Amino acid sequence: MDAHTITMCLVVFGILALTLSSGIHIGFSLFIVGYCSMAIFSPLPPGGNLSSSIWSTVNKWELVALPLFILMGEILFHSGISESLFKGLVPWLYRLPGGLLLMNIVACTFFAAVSGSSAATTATVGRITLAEFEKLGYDERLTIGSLAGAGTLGFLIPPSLIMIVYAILAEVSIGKMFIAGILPGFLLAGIYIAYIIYRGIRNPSIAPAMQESYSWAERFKAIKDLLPVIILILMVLGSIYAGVATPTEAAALGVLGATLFAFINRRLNLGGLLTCLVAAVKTTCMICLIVMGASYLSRVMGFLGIPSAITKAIVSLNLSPYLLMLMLGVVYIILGCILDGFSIVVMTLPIALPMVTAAGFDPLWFGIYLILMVELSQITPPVGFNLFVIQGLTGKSIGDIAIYALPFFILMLATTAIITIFPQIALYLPQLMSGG
Amino acid sequence: HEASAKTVWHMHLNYPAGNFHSQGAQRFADRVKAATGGELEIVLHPGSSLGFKGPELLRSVADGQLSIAEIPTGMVEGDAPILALTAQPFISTNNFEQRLLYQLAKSVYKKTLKKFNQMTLYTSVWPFSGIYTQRPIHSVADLKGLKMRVYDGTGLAFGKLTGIAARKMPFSEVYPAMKAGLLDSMYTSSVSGVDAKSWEVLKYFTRINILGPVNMVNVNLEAWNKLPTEVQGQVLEVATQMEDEMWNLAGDMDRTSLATLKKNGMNILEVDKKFRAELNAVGKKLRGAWFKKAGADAEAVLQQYNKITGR
Amino acid sequence: MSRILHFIDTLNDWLARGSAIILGLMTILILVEIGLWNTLKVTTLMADEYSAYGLAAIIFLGAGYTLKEKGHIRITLVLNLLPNRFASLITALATSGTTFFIGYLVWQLYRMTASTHHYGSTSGTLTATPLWIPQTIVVIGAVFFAVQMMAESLRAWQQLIFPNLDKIDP
Ligand code: NA
Ligand code: NA
Repeated sequence: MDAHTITMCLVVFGILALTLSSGIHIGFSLFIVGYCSMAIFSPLPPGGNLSSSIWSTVNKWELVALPLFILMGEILFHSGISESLFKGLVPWLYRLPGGLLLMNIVACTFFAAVSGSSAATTATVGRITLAEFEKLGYDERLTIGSLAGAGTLGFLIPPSLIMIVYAILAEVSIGKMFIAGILPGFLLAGIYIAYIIYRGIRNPSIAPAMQESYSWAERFKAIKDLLPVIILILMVLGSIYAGVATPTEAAALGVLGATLFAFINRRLNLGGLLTCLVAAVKTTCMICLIVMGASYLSRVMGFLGIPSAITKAIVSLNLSPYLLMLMLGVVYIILGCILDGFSIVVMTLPIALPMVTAAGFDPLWFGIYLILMVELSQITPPVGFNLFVIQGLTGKSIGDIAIYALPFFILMLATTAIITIFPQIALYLPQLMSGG
Repeated sequence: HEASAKTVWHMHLNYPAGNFHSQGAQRFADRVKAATGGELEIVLHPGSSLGFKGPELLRSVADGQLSIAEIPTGMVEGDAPILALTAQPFISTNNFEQRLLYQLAKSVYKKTLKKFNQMTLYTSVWPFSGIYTQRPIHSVADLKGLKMRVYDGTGLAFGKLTGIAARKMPFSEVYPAMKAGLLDSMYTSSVSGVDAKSWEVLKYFTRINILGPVNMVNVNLEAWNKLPTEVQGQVLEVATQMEDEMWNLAGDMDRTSLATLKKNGMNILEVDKKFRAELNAVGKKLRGAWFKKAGADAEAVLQQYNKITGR
Repeated sequence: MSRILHFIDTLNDWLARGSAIILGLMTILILVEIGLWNTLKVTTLMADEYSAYGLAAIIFLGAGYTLKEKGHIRITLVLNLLPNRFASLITALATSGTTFFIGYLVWQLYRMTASTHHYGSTSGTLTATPLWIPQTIVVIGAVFFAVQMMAESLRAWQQLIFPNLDKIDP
């Protein structure tokens, strides 16, 4: 890396540290960093780029699914479905070490199969589970941490917005890319579950024991309480796979389903619906202000050539394949601290992909690796969208949430290592699909 | 530290780095750098990685937010309807007509682009788009009842006129939609059909040649005027050479892509005289609404074009 | 003074309700699109386009309310480590700076919208929607966002200069 790039990096991180630590809202911190860096280092107009970047970011069909899934979460929270989900799962999970904490993982896995983004998965499930956990006196570190970690499954388990972007850029089949995410997604969920069970065995007090005990008859009766959620999942997933709706449109069906259940349960009237809409607006505005800031900063970084300079610097080191992936991982984690997932993919791919395939890796496999890197970026401060969503839900500080999420961050790194050593985990299903 | 005397242009590219338009732009950048002795460097940003969207490109270059960009003519219809001339349905259906139409339109394009504070360095074309379907198509009547993905207003209007249930959808949502049966057809070029591995979900490619749109590589006039005259000359020389190369390349790409489609089991169907006449009639109707927006200049170009082609 | 601040708060409450209604309408529009496509195989020709405008409107019309409700996220870790008065000073300066920046943002968004109007830019879709219309909604939202940020900044200065004001005049 040349001295000029290093200077630019120092300036970018310096201004970011200054604006963030002085308590300027994160979205505006990103805007200001972008604006200043562009004004200092580029002859192009920072102001005109600011407005045009904002307009292209907010006027986007692909982003419409976000407020819809958030709204679905709000309505579910008010509909009483969350309580019946608990009632339905308690008889099944209460005896396991870690108990209902597993619900975060199980529910996120389900919703990941419904929504295309991690933020929406986290928001929906968090809205349902967090308040209940607090009532039951569960360990806050684990409830929040596991939600942050499992929420990221939204990108790894199809449908996935980031996978679609990757598949288009890397020129691999979107269908195969989706299929490739399934086993790694279940692997990651399984590792999370194992971790929580392990924690539950070591220290049973993290999940307070339930007084009651349940017979098998009661367990099967409890399935009735799970029915609304299952119907909703079938409605959203089913509409996608039966060809009734696109993934974005399916979000609107989810809202419809949740609203119907809420009205049937007599838990929601028109006033309540307005409250849900306003709450969804609030979360959407919060996330989108940061999305706008991150998109603008990403554009500026692109103009300054910082991501490509960093990737090029690594290429020039001529590393062995595993060392290369390790080194790339470090870079992605650093970039992931301040960039959003989409930007990470589009900005580094043109340089990273040829070098990775030259080292003998399959582009499909690299897609999964990259999705995992994007997921890591969701839970690293200062810019981590799952952290923001959870802060919106709990009011906890970003720093605390990031620390709670740390074990899950490490487990995700371990998953990445496993998939690097055993690439077949990602490649087996797509190979079946094409018949060998 | 980069020498500060030399000029750097950041170039937006709509397509991924591997696409032949992007690869062409890379050769352009390399040759410009060599020809100008490093005076002008063009840095590429493929895959829309700077976050500019197609329909906004004309204005982004006009405003100087970008020094240079590859702009598909069909995408900027909202800003300058006349530029969509070469992207009108069935206006040209073979390489000769495609080239002729652009040559005739060139001066009108130039005049329009000047209003948007930019000029074209070189153009390239897409091979003609055909339709990908599950069943064979031999006439306009066969089109009826298809559930087709389209990407612009032209496609929607085409659908309306021919009884196709057409819907706009981002490319990213097409594959799952095809797989699930939400859609059963799409229209795009042979090249994009290969990129999308269309044979995984579709069986027939009918070469109706609905569009063969022109892409412009446009530069902001202030950025251009800042270059020394000598460097401008060197850039123009490279650009002229690029234009020839890119137009020829489109034909080559079409041929190799068709071969790839065939190799993967796609059935390629040609359009006979009767079907072509039907399609031309559809095209004429479709252009009606656009004509009103495009104005007298478009009328003049088309008159001349019809005279030469005998349409 | 406090009456002006209260007025600004109320104003943004109403804009947020407007935002909420747009979100509701957007959901209905998409449901109509799904319904039409699956029964009659026709499309509204505009569900995707108008939902995207709706999203832009929601984000900006709801921004001031979100700010008021402390929904927009900031990192207070460092501020909490500083002495109270000093932290208040930094907060006052930071909110003033941000107000200034949003003011600049409003100006840039206005310039973009004026230029859209000047060129007569439309969506280029079958609806041929003049783009200055959705962009104007964005500008209006941004103006009230700026006003709310100014109110927050005034509150921060008030807190700095009269730290005990709350106790005198609740
Ligand atoms: Na997903
Ligand atoms: Na991050």
